[in-house]
Amino acid sequence: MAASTCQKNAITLKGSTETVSEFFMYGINSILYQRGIYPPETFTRVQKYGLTVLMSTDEKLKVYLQQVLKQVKDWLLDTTLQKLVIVIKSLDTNEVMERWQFNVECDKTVKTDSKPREKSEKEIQKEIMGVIRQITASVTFLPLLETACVFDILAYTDKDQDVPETWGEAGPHFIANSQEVRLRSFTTTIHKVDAMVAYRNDD
Amino acid sequence: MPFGKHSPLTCLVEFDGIIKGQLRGNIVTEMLKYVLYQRQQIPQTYEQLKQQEQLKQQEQSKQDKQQEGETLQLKRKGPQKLQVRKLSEALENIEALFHNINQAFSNVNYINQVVITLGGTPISPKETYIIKLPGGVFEGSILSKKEVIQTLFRTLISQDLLGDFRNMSTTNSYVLLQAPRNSEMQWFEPKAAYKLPNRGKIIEVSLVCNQGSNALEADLTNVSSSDFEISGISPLEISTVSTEGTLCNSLNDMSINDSSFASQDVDKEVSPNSPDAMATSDVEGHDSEFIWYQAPVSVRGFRDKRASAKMSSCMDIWA
Amino acid sequence: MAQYNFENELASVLKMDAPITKGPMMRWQRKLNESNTCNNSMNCSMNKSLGMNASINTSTTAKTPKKSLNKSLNSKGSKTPKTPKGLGDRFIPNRSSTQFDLSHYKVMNTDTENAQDETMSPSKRDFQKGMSDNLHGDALNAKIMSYQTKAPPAPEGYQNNLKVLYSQNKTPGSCRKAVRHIPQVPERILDAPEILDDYYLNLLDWSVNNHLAVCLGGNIYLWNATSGNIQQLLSMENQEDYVSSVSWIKEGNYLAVGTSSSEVQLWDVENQKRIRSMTGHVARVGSLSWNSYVLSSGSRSGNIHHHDVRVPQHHIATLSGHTQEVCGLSWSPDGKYLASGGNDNMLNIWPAIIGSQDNSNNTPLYTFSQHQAAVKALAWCPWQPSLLASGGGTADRHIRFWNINSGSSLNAIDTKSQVCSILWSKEYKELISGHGFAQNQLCIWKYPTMTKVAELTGHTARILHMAMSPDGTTVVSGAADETLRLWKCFGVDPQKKKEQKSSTKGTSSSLMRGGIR
Repeated sequence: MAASTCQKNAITLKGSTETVSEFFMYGINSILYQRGIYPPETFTRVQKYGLTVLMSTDEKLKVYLQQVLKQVKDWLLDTTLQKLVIVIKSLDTNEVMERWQFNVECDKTVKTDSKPREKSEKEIQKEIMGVIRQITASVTFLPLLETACVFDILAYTDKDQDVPETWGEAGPHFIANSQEVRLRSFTTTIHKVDAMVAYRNDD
Repeated sequence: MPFGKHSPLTCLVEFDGIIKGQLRGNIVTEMLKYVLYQRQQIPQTYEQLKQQEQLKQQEQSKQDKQQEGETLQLKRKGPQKLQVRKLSEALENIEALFHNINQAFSNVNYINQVVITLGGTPISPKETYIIKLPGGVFEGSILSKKEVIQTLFRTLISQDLLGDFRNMSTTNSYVLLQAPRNSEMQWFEPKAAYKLPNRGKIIEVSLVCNQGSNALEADLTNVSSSDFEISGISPLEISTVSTEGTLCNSLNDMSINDSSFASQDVDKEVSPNSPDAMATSDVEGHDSEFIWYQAPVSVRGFRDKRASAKMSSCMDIWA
Repeated sequence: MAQYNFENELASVLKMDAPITKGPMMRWQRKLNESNTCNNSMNCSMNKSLGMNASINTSTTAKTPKKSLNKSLNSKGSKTPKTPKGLGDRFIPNRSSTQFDLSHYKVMNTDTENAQDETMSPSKRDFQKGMSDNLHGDALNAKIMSYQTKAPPAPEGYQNNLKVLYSQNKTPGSCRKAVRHIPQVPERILDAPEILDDYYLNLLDWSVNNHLAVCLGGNIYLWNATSGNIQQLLSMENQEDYVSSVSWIKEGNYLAVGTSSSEVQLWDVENQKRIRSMTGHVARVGSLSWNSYVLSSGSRSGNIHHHDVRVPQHHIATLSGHTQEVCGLSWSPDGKYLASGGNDNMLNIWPAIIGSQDNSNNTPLYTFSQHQAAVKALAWCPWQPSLLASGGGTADRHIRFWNINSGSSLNAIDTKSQVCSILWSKEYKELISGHGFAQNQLCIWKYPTMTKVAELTGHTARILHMAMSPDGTTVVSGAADETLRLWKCFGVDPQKKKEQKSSTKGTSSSLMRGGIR
């Protein structure tokens, strides 16, 4: 958060990128905790966005997320990231149970247009708080994940984006016969992030 | 204007089937959990708090075993002890509310409105959440608990009624039920003089059971249910569907068609046109007065003081 | 023609606008093949069922698998690439990256989509299309990637317990572990030989000066809880008589004593002198309660007398509200109400209008008949005025709560056992009740949720009486097993706890040490 705290009102691409990737870090951890992908005792409570958020203490998981988000951050800086998707699959059947999708709209003119974008950090934090609270509340209508699940992170980028060495192309992992709920969004004026969740129609 | 500065925010939730007695209690307890968390009166959802407590207890009992025979003292220092106590009290009160709400719904008929107030007292709270439960519906498929809760929260979350509210400080939350005057209500204390507040923020959630033609159609065509959740998103659809309410929905017609009219009558206990009066006219030999019953416990909101400061390590990925 | 081969080859190599048919594989092709061969075995069956999908994917010269789908959709139509030579002739799609889901979706929905469109309203259709595009459509305009190394698995044997968590039975009731530690063993056990096993008497009381008055048969002993000293206060003159009730005045210097000979005595404890002997009752006096200078006494006759102890004509009123023995008697802390419970199962509430000669004031304000057995346990809430708790005997076993202002019953809890006594803890907002068959236990309840906080067992016969120390930390229970057990269940200061740790636990000290009968 170093960059954005220094500039309270003027949002730069770098600052916005940090805000968004930080949100992803906290958001993904929240989802992993709530959906029981990892044992609850491996999470610890931290204060962020004025909320209590659960973050993993599992070193391997932390490293994994750091690696992934490092690249995601680069794409954000390049304004080529379109979506970040968290796919939750059953360990046994490999069936996709849930799909958390974060659409990222980037104002590409930010690279060329030097007009400053202004928004208070407090405002952004508040918006993010609303998204995370809603993600947490979604548990009430999401079907229980009764079997062991694993997760994967998909990044949608512009078509001409090179695939980095440590990444590979992947399918979208859709849920056949799904129900979708659109959640809240937040914007830094440079990046706008929409959230939605799709889940298997249990009926 | 009966509600002062703010006119009530309304949200309509429709169900394709009947909601049986006990489930009405579940709706109220789930709404209570939702409001408490969304308004940050509890720092995590109720289930998460329970889970944290269970983990703590497991840890504690491990420690206890090691120290058998000694007088165990409360190891924590002052402020932490207080924090633990606040959490424990809040959970106890919440669970007592759950238990007694469920009891009330299984023992008492005609609880048609429930109110959750956030504020120092329930008489002039900062926020009032009015839950209007569906009236007597006699036909239709019986919905399962899962269906009811899913539909309720899909709608609430998609409509995101609370999303734009400003942050709120910790305060007390009270629960009141409206039921007939001479009902066998236990634990909840009768407050014959209580009237719904008309100040502060007022949010009305009306639950309506559609049945008859709509439900039948759903069965016959058996389209993918992705059709149905759209009603939660597009407001246009809600009003067209609602006017198809059948006779059995007459009890709730007031709230569907003209929410402002219904809400005007909310703070009068019995007036000829109020939904409450209509509810009682169906009931034979029943006392026609409804009064409010207030829970003897309130939930005192608290903040999470024990969570560690922001973990800087996770963000040190860009050296 | 051979001489032109080289030229042709050279020319074809130099041509820039045709696909490269020879030469090293493109990096992405290479990567694709690498992962393909790994997923060899998995894909055969999949290919069979989705034959269409397999055929779509055979043209690998497409930059991404998705583009091959575009073939049908993209009318602009890029050149149809052919399988390049030099590569294996068997294309095995990468299972995890193949869009079985998308293509399956498209395959299954091509027919139904149109039908659905007709029944949907325009806005619904738009929305669905929007959602659809959002989720699926963009797949066609973007590159989807995932990190090769996958996330670490959850630890072995980890069971996702969300189901348990979210479908928990929300009702409280089972023993919750208390936040504080409540010792399960008494701090002290005192011998109480010859204590009468009579449910209807009240033989224990603890003064504000920390003296515990205990009635054993025809004797009263005072146990100084601070020093541990035991002193015999009195002994009944007549061998056949016994003490039937005892109650300390608020200041702790006088002790009221009810006897089997229908007397109410008043004793000056410091000087060990009896200063009054008040008669009037026609049967034994089993219950007593003070309201400032007024002492109320309850008798086996069912009558309650008020005595103004300051004046010679002490008997100032008679309340006839019971048809059987008055075993419970308690004035509210604010002195406004007197609660009386009888063996007739009635609970009466009397107002504090005393001194009137006519009998019109001698009717109870309320009569509660909900208890199905004798009402001995009565306790007024110390922090909420007009809140009364009452407990019923063997046939009833309930603790009931009453709002005396409105005269309404607030709650009723089935304790499953005869209730002999109830006490409130102001410190913890809890209630403690004493019981009989079968566990002879004390139960601590959280108020007002009435969740059980603790159960204290140890007595081997039914508990008959309870009293609370002046500092509110300790409760003494007297039972038919002829013991008094002191339970430090409402302890407060950890420091104090440390000090008292050294005091003997479970030692039995005989009350008889001080004086011998």
